[in-house]
Amino acid sequence: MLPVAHARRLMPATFIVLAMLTVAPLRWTAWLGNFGQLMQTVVAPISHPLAAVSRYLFPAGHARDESEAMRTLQDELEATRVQRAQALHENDVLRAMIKELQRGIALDPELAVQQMVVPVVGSSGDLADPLLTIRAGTRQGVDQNTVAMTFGLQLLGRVVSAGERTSTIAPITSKAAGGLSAVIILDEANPAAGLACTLAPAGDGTLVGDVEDRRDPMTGNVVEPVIGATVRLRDPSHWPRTAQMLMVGKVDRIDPSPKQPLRKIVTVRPAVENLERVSEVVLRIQPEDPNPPRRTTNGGGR
Amino acid sequence: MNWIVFAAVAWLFLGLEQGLRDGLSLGSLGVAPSFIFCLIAFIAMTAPRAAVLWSAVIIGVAMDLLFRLPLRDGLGAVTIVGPHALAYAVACQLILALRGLMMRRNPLSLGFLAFVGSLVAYLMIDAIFTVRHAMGAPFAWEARRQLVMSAGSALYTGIIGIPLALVLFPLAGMLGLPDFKSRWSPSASRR
Repeated sequence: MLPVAHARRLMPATFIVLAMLTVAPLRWTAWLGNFGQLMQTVVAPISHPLAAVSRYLFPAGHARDESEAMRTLQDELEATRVQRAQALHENDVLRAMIKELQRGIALDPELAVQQMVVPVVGSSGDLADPLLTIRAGTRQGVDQNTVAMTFGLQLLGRVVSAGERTSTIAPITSKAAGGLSAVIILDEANPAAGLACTLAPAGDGTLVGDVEDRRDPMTGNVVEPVIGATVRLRDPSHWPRTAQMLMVGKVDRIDPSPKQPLRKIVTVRPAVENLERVSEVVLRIQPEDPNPPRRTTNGGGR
Repeated sequence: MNWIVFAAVAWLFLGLEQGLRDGLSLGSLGVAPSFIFCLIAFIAMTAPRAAVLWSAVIIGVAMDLLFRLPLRDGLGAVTIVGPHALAYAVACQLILALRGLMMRRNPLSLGFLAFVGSLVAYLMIDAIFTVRHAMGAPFAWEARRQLVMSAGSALYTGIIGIPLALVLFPLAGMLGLPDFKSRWSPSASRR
């Protein structure tokens, strides 16, 4: 233990150092994140069981009375829908690529996605915009941009920082996640015909954004979104391929745009009520993505 | 003060903060109690001044390391060391000034000091991040919303502090806080 006189002399110096670290530019103090990961690892043995109890008592919103068989069937149904939508979307992309290259030899190899269920060990960040801390890191192949979803193929978010043993996920409903482009599926048989929309977190667990203004070429009527329609991610420039066509949520509200009354604004609510309170997440890890999506500061113009 | 017991208790309370806080949050604003600040307020009520400030700095740095501040537009999250440590030290100064006016062995005193202290700490943390945000740091930060959350969280912390006093007061003897030994230690209660 330090002698009292030394401790007293050390105190002002400590405050000066802390004040300097507080105002230092972020790029100078980025290395402190490693100590943060270490601290998470130290606290995880006590926070994990408490978080599990907390999330059991206050679940994310799955109906408790649903039987296991029913949930399995719903998961399988949703998985089939996602695969079908992904296949159709992939077909469109490949057709366009073939057309563009005039040769069919530059096709991407099949997506090899490894799925991993990992527990949530706590929340970090402020509770207005919570980030989830999970017990999986670079050792398990997690890296920045790894996509996380909840059961039922609901898109949860993506990893924003990956330590050796723990990682941090920004849920799509958190302001930290930024905006995303999605498509409102009006016809499950033809997801490409859906309405494009750009969504941003509203801060209350929903996402809000403008819908594309489009008219039916046959009738000339305005194509409008429908309450209850499924909204799926379609944002290849900002999200990895493993995340495309995963469910963002369902249309909860439709309002006229305050700037352009003829256009609509949709409020999309994720299928899981509180994304930040899930107890487990499913990570979709792609071994190597040769064309990772770029991360821009302006969110792609949104 | 027994720093080994302090480390163990601080670790436990950091776990409570990480694991239980979001489960007890109210509403979409994220109003939630701070368990760790109740521990800080308890130490500030009873320990010598130097021990109070050092414990506030140690716990504050630990909280800074655990606190990941989200950046906007999916740019990730950052760890900033300093805001919690400085804010907790300032809050402890206030508690040190007020503790002479309080009945230290009353659980309501811990609740009140936890409320006042955490309000000051939250306001200082909000002020630091708001100023940095205004200076151009890319934080996903809304000052007005944070202010409401801070006021609500401080009140919630004060309320949680009252039942937590019943857990913390008996630990005073192990933590080496002599003021509480006479009444709250298990040996004293047997007498």
